[in-house]
Amino acid sequence: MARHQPAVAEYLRELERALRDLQPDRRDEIVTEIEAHIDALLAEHGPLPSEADTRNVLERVGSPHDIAREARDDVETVPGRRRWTNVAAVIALPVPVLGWVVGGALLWLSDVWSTRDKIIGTVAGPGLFVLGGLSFVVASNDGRTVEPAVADPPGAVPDVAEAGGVGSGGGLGPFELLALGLVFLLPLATSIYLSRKLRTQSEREGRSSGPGGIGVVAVSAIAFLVLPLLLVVLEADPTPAAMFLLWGAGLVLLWLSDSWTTREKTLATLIAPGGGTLALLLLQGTDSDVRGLAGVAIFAIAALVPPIYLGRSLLRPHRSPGARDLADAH
Amino acid sequence: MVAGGQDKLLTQMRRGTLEFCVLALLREEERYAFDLVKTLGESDGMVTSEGTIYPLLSRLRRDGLVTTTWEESPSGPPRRYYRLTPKGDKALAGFIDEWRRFRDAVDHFVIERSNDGTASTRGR
Repeated sequence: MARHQPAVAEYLRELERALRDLQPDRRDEIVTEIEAHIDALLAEHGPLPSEADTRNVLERVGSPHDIAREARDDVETVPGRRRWTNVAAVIALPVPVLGWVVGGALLWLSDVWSTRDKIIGTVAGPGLFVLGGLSFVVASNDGRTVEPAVADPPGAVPDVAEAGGVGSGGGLGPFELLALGLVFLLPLATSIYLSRKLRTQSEREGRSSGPGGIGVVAVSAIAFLVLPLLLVVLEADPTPAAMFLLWGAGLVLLWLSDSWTTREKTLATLIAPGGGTLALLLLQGTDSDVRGLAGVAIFAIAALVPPIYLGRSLLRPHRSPGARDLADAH
Repeated sequence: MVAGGQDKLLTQMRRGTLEFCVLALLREEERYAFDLVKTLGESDGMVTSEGTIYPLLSRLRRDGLVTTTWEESPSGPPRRYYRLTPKGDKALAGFIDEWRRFRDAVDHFVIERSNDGTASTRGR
């Protein structure tokens, strides 16, 4: 069609952006038809419509946002996949290494967040995690001589005692605490930030708002259990203090969230920290392979089951009541 | 969720009914979108943003309730004409039945009867 005035061109661009999550042929159809509609309306004002006429015409056609909402109400967008990947990004980001890669990729592929948010997510999440991890390594090298404050059962094998022994948290200096804070809390805070943005954005676009931000973060906090598990398996220092910190944070968020039923909350609470603690007790000061193995197994269950369980029920579709149900008549 | 004022109420009511008004307009003759929108726009309160009719038309077409054909226009580019399909006709007939029943049921509750038996709307 003929070249447009800047205002019309801008409007059409905005419309295309607003419709971006429709299937392409459908989007093209709507944009083409609306373009023709605008042209027809403008033609009523003679060959050279004034700026005011153009403004009027665009006002009559309506905001791209409204049109997009209308188009979305008959859901043939791919909201499931789209929303799922966004939630996955928020959950994955705080999890070291694999999570950074996956979460970072999903974050940057998503069109929900602004570039600014994406940079924040990348730097404040994985970036600070790396920084915090480094300083923690430095700190714990300095503090190697700190003995576990909890009395281990007599006969404990020294290296196992060391592996499980920082338990009390009493040996943590201020520097270590700071490092811990950086390592674990900032990525969490970043996830909270990103999921809040995700939520407001979803609401603005008139989609069902999906899982609550707090819920997403709770899952990611609990998913952190994967990290200590990894350390246990690698026979590195599992830093139970940090683990308890995370469980605490995750559980508080879990119980604050309205995304789960009380039953689900209770189950997750019992399985994750409950199982984790049991595993720790088993691992602590044992020289038995069977006990150690059982500990690791329980740990694996405690670490993996709750995030999967909670995540699944978080993603099950639940519609906000009353919003647009009138439309579903036929 | 508390109903957010008059605007929202209208939007919701329109959402369920507008598509059938479109189908009804196509019952007699085929029309092109611009013409449809104009006719709807002349009826007070049916269409506020003309652009929102296009996603609706696109959906009706995909659902097989209308078909489209391209036809030359006496002026300007070719136009897409919309026509009711038998399926659309059936959907419309079904809606009309439902609508009468629904309208009567709502009227029964919201319209006050004066002593002589004639209906009058509340609060006018």
